[in-house]
Amino acid sequence: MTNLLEKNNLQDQLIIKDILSGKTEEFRKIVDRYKNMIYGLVLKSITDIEDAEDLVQDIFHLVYQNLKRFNLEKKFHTWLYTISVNAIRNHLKKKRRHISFFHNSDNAIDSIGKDDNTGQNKIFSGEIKKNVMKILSQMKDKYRIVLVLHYFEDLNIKKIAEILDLPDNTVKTHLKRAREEVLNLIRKNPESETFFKDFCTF
Amino acid sequence: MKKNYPPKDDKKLFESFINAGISIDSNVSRSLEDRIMTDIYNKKQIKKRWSLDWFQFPIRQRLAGITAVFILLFAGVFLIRMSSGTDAPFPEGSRLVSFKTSYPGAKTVCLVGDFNSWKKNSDCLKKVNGHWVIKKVLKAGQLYKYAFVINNKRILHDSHANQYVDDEFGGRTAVVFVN
Repeated sequence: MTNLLEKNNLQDQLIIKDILSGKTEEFRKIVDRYKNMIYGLVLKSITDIEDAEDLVQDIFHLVYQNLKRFNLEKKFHTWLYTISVNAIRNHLKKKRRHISFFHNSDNAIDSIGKDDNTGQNKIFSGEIKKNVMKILSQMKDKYRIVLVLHYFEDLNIKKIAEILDLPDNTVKTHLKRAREEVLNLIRKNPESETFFKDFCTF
Repeated sequence: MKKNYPPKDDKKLFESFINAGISIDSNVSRSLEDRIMTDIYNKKQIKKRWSLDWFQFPIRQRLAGITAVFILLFAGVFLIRMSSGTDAPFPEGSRLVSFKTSYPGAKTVCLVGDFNSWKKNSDCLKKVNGHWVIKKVLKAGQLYKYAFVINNKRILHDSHANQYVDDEFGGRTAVVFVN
């Protein structure tokens, strides 16, 4: 696993060197390698399917613009996460300012499963998305981001602390509170509780 | 002492939530990839996204940046204030004229002349590095008679003036012509 990461990092470095030497087209390789990772992170962190693609686009633009500042001795993977998480935090801050006037998040969550109506599996995957997003959307931003990075992106405490510029112990505390918050939110909503209990036995 | 582990049900429920989250399909459409690349090629500036760029830095770097901006602002304001004391803008057709003299024992030195109707205390000089100095905005193209009043008593002419004219009492008065 470590070797694979090292190999990927070396490949990233070669691609970045090419881009910096003027081969702009090589950036497509970076997009191709990380687009799904960034999209997953963004989608689960902002829980807004409509804004997710736009934010992913902005993040890649930021990455391209700041590529010359990237220290090639460091891991591109971590740098990419740092840029993405800061962009997500900024987006959430802006959204919070507008949410009470313009946005009804319940409607956005309710519409998630409705496009997936072409077959039983797709309906089910739509339901999963809807139920997960419903819980995530009600969480505090700081707990949700730590939870997503640890459980969905499979990053360890040290890496998360580095990305969020927080002490390890703070990350551990956020993670503990995130777990508690998830359980409280599921327990509060009988529909969600039934869904996740059923999913458990699925 | 026994540690309090979460109840088994909670653990299962949480795992179920995580597994459901992991199973969410997060594949990006090809069109997004194209959009990103088109954006890069066009080298568009990200509209109203400067703050996004700013927020990519850790909080410590951001604080250092804000501090630096404040220091520069204060320095700028200070310099502007300093310069406005000496070279304040003055009306068109006027000139800034410096008067400088040295009377080492004097307690006060004031400037009197045609420009202030020879009023004793209207333009007093400041002591800077052992010299008495004052700057006056005077209308160009005119000749002004002037003198210094020492300690609010003695009127003395400027011994270093460029020009002098006869006064009406058989003596001479220093004059300055403003170009």
